[in-house]
Amino acid sequence: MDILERTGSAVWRDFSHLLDMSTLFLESLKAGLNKRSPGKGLVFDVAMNQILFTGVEAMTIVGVIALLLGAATIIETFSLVPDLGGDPLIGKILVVVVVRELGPIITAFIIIGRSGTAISTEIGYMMVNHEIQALEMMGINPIRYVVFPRIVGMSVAVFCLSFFFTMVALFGGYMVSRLIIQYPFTMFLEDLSRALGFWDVAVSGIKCFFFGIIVAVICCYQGFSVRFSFTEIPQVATRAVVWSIYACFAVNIIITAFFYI
Amino acid sequence: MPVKLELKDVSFAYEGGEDIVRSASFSVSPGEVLAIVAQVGAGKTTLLKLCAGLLPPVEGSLLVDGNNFWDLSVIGQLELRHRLGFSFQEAALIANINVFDNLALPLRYYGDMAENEIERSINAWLERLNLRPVSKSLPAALSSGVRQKVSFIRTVLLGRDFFFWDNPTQDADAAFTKRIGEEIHEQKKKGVGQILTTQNRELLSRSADRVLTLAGGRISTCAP
Repeated sequence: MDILERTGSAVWRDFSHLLDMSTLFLESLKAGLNKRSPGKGLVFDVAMNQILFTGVEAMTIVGVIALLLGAATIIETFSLVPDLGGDPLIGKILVVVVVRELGPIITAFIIIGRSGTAISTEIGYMMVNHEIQALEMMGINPIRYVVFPRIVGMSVAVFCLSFFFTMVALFGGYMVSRLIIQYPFTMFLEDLSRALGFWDVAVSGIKCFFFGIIVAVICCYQGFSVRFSFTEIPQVATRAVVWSIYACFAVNIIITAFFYI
Repeated sequence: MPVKLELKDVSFAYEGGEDIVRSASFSVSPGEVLAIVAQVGAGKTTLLKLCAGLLPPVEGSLLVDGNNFWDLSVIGQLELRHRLGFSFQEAALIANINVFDNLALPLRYYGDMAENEIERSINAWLERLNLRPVSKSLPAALSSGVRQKVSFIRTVLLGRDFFFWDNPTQDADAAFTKRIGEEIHEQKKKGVGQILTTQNRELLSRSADRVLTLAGGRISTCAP
């Protein structure tokens, strides 16, 4: 009975968190897209800063990881397919692994570690320092000024970064792999273009868009859950990372299943 | 237009804690200055935040000009809060923007003033309190006294219809304490209602029309 009770209350707790996060997302859309609300310029500035921090400033780390993973994937693929190119399987493996799966999910993980923790920590500090209450007393809606631009910034940044990741992983990875394997560039391009379809790119984009929204909502929600103490902040940052990883994996499999099964 | 504020049977407790405020009822009319005094940790700030609609009461209601604040829509609450000035004890400046941008934030958000007008108005205030040299500094680089001065400017910069002063003289020197007293007096003359929490006896005796004592969660005395 005790185990049942505990399991039940844990499920209910998780479900109510899910409901709260959905509400936060819907409220942020409502507040952010309300044409009559003031502060459009400031909200736009915050969103741009978020894109700069999450997207532009993360290009180096995303680029390096993409390069190394791309090269490893191409070399591994080559070891599986003994022909020196010209095999349709090479292109297919690269598209499935790099474009459909690795690009979106690895970008999301980098963003969770780099920007997700920053968002939850920043909002946590704002809660403890009463900055959120100060915003409210200025008549500024924190959902509109803090949450909405972060959701927009994160989704745009993850979308663009994932595209960047895929390009670097494929073409940069190819350059690196040339140090080890012999694979003519024209053949590589031919294999790739034969395997790559519109839906591969579209599904990758859809995944990134959702990952950006999910990570931003979870991290904002965790930040807002800080109440009184600075010691709560690292706890919520950790929780934000763990929940974001779970959520991204879950959404990844749902989208993959929806489009490819 | 100055507002009348009323608390009716308001009780409040933080999650899992004991009641900090129990059945508090009082009102503040336009032009009146109400002071709340209590020992440290007795719940002055909590009571002030309940009055400002920053904390939802567990029981009871907050009436602003006869309307229940918590029945208003989110937009309605924000529009009303925009008319209320709150000076935070901890200053509560936005950490990632400099002093000037902190002061300009509500003005830019509402877009009521042109940028050069905002600049002129803020610089005049900074000049008056000798804060021009720190206008480009981030709040973390300032002493608590300077932060409180900036918070004071942010509170009074916009014309407000009600003021909440949470221990505004905590880190203030004599000159700034005098300035706060003058501001409270000026607002009173304009007919603006105010609630003040302070440990400063001089400010209390000079500014307050009524003094409310909070002990054990209850308003135990209400001296004139």
